[in-house]
Amino acid sequence: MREIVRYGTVLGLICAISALVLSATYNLTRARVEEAQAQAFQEALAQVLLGEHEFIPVENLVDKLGGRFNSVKEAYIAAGPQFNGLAVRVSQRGYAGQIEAVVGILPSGEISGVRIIQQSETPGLGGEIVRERFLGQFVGASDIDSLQVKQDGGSIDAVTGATISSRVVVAEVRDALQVFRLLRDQGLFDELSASPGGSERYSVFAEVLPGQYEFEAIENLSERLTESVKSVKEAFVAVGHGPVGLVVKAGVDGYAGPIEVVVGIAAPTGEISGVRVVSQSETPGFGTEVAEAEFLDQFVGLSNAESVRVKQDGGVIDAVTRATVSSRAVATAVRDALLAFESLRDQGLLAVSE
Amino acid sequence: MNFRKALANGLLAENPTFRLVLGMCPTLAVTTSMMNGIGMGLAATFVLVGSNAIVSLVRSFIPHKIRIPCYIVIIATFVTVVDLVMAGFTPALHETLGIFIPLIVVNCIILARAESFASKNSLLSSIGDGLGMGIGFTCALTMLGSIRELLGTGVVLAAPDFNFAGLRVIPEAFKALVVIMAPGGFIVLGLLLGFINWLTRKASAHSS
Repeated sequence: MREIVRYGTVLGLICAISALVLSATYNLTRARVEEAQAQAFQEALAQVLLGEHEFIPVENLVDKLGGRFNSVKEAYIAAGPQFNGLAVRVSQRGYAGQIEAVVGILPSGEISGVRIIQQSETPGLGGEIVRERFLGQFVGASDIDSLQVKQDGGSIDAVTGATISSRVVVAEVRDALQVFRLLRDQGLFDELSASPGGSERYSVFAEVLPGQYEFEAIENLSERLTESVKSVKEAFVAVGHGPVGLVVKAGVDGYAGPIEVVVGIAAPTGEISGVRVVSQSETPGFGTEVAEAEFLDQFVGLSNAESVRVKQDGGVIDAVTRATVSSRAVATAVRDALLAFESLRDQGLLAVSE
Repeated sequence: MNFRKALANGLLAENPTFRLVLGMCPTLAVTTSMMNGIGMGLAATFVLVGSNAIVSLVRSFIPHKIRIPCYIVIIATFVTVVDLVMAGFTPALHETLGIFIPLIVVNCIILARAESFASKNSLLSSIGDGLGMGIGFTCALTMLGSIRELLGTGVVLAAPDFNFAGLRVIPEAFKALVVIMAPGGFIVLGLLLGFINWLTRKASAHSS
């Protein structure tokens, strides 16, 4: 009997001291741990939606989702002066524990980035889902049906030897995309747009004319344009830090419908700095290729309007194979933009200002 | 056994991985890269030194019949402290090692040294033993991790926590993925054990 009392006391004493040490350590490190976790989360938010935004949490997310998509825990709207995107925190059971990720989605519905913030998969196998090699595959994706691992008929390369972990991440990204669409259809993002399609407009402008600019629309454009460049719809003078330039919105009829392009032209040189296709409804796989960088990059650096034609018409642009009509349409729009630039410049509307 | 002898003992003569063949589970699981091996080894060393020290200090107070639960509580306390500190101060490594940090509690090396050494020796020797075993364990993990990383991924010195992707030595197409997985781990470990046995036999044949 005395033995048992002694055993109990000794063990109890050791446990009590242990509990003391542990609670002290916990209290000492808790602030740091929470700070590290919060920082990792903020970093993930900034990484998936490139840039500094204010992140506004979506309230009553569960109600808005109608009880679906249980893996989606939180969603944050990235807001500047306009809607810049949605960041979604997803969590689902992986192979060895919860896999928690943050998915960033641009206003266009494309994924801007994925970061894993918490996982306990097997190091060297499932643990590899955090690598850029795997997560980079999601960037730019917007089609939910192709968001599957290759084994399931999709386009995502799973991590070798970690199909289960990979599948879970893909499912989480899919859920995030579904949530984005659901919230968008509920009109949640409209209140934050400065004007319909406003954010898209400004981000595209920055892509075709890199620099810090204020864009001022040119009034009475059709009267000013002495050349007949009927595809040019709007033109904006870019003023601010960096060389002055012009951004032109042009619209032409493509093969299957209207094609709208935005062209950036740098002022002193008169060279095209960038072209983006903002909207089109051409044949997928053929005409749609005119929106790809491979085709559009050909325009960069050109300043002679005559050369801005497809090769079939005597210019330097390689048309997209079997999409000559679409390619020609885009080349026409870009050429008109260049001619409009020259016309406006000659009228002195693009005087350099600081 | 004094401090220095205990230290040398853990490093070579009674290396926990290659001579005592203890703690095989985390050894095989964590040695998928050199950095993982080093990280795990250092965490385990800290726990070893701490638990050996405490067990040695209180060895006269712990009744023989309940020594195992007592050792385990002490070891678990140290491991939890390591876990909390790593989560706060080295979050990247903590995330990489993940579940294997709490599993240090059941690493046979630590319980074995508490039972067979620390409970019967002085504080200083026990600390030396913990240090020696820990460093020996870390060296073994590093060796194993480097070989498996080289053959299994073709890259050496990959350190994601320092944003270093490593140096590719073997072209991607020639890497043997099996080496990184469980069967490869067993094979490499077995071959290494055999090699070290052969070396020691030669060494003792020379000296005798």
